[in-house]
Amino acid sequence: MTHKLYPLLLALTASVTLAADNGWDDAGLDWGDSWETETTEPSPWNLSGFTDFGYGEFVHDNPVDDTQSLLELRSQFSANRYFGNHFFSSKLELILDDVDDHPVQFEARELFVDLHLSNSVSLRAGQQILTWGTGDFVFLNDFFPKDWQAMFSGRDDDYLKAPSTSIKTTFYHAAVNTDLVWTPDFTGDVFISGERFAYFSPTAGDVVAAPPKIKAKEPSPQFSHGQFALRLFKTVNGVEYALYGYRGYYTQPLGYDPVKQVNTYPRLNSAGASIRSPLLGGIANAEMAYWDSLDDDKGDNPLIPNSQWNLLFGFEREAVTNFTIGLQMLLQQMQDYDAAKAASITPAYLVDELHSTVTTRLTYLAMQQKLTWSLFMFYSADAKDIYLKPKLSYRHDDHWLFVVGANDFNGADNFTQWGQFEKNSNIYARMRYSF
Amino acid sequence: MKALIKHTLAGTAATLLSFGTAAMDANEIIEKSNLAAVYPGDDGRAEARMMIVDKQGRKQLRQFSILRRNVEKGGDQQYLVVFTRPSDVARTTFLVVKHPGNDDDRWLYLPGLDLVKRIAAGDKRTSFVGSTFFYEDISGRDIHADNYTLTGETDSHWLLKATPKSQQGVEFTYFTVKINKQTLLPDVAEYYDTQGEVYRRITAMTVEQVQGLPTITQMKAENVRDGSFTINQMRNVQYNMGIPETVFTERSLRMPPREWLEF
Repeated sequence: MTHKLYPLLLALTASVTLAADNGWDDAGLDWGDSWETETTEPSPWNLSGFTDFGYGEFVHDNPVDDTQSLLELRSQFSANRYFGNHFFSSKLELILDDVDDHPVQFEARELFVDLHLSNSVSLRAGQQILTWGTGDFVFLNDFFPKDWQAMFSGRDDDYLKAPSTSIKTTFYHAAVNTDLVWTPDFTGDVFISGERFAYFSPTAGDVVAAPPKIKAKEPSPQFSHGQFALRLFKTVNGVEYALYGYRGYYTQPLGYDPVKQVNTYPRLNSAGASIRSPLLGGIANAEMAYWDSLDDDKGDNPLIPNSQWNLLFGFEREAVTNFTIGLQMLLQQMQDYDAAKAASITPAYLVDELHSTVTTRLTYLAMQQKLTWSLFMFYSADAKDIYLKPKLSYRHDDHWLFVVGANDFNGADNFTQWGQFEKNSNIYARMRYSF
Repeated sequence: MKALIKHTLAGTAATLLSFGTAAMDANEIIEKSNLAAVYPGDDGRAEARMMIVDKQGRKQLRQFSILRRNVEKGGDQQYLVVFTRPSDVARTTFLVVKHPGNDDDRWLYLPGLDLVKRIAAGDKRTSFVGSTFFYEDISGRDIHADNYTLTGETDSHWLLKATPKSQQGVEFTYFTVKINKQTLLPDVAEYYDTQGEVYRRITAMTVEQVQGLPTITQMKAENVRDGSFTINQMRNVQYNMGIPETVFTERSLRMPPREWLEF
């Protein structure tokens, strides 16, 4: 498949690339067309893209149908430009996916306008990726959609964040800056549904996969069912402070409607805060959030998650040249734990009242930063489970990128957060041509 | 005997005196040179491109726009770097608030994730975006981190030797810098290892007058040991544009300010 595309890609690249004499001293080097001619007006459009081929395999027998965890050819075409101080961006993707139920997909990762309304107000509307908060692969106050299937299958880290159709307004003020994001039509995570990856089902008491895949009923589209996210932020003397608020729903279908026999997205409000600052030659961060599970305020409904306190501490530092260590500690405390335990149909599967997770990120850059070794780990002592993400990526030149990696899940039990995914452990390789 | 002591003392005094003047001169020279090379104007902007050539001769390109504002001449500075090429780093943005003598504040914006990442100040002597240049070569090394001595002088140049006050975070034993008396800019800097061999060299290849300020528009960083190098070129350099402080904030990281980036 890739071979058929190369001539097309080359032709595309060539048509965009026109050798130019820009009258500069090229120092005896071939700079290509990097600086356009002074005489011709350069196009206001920035065009680029890539084609990415990925292949991954499960390393254990898996209840999932496929033996491949990843088999896809993804092409992205990006076009953006300014209109005065305003900006338009589109990133459109065509995906041929042999693992998914839908083998041909078309996705707009970005399709937005960014309006510079004044020196103190800007507005971005349309399909966009949104991220905030201080965690690394840990999100306490960021309820923008995530793609856990992408995370588990070894797609580029960018794909952990999924787009939503949102309106983001930012007010800049000397006292404090404010971000307000409204997602009118509820957009949840791309969750683990049994289609590509198996999961633990408390009703079955075992790890299961599709069919049937988890069906979730999304909140119907109406104004009061939209998601609202708020961030107040300010940097003072290099220290970043932020307050967060969220009104909406859990972004994963963690609720269950026994009458309709369908998973649901329970209502969720959240309030939180974060701080990030240089410390001891590194970067330290702390973040907290209180998740208020509105549909289970007493905590005694076994089909809806309880409210929860979340606390995160992190520190990252370059230990020696080109080698960086990041550490995080996440503490999560369930509210009304006794009520939850008493009401639970399967109390044995309940997570500890105080659940802790440690993460580490090790990164080593070699060969003039062309080669990156990285290892990310989630580990929980109380749940006795671990998720390891080793990755080796080699950026051969400005066009070619090669990646090999693995997603390795282990746990003492098959019902814990990472332990349930043990059979989903996989290795993968990707190659990407950027143009 | 007394005479000998007297002579020796006199000699010592003379040596101390000459060291004293030389050291003062060297410091004066490096201070002036630092202002000319790193702090020209109140602010400035340029388009830059880098050709990175590895020891096998393979090439990579980096292209970016750079905005700079002096908070204080010789002191703190703000930098905003917006990458335009290659395509996999386009719209990646880098914000630095430089605090000479202290850790810099550094942020990186990754557009694919819409992520503002804080970067540990860490080692300033690591490669800038995979090039032969170090971060410090771009934003200027803190002149108070080294002891400077004047080791030679010609009609056109001063030759200074810089010995780091602390070996922590530096890979050189010392470096020499040849400063042009006319432009006050460093023409060549050479870095020496423990064996006293040059292993790294930075050369100003082209100097142009921009708004009356001598400006290095082409420079080269070489790894003498393996022959790899990077050439950095600047164009459309402009000074004293009145770039406001508010440009150097998270807003510009997430959405580069067009009005200051249109050349």
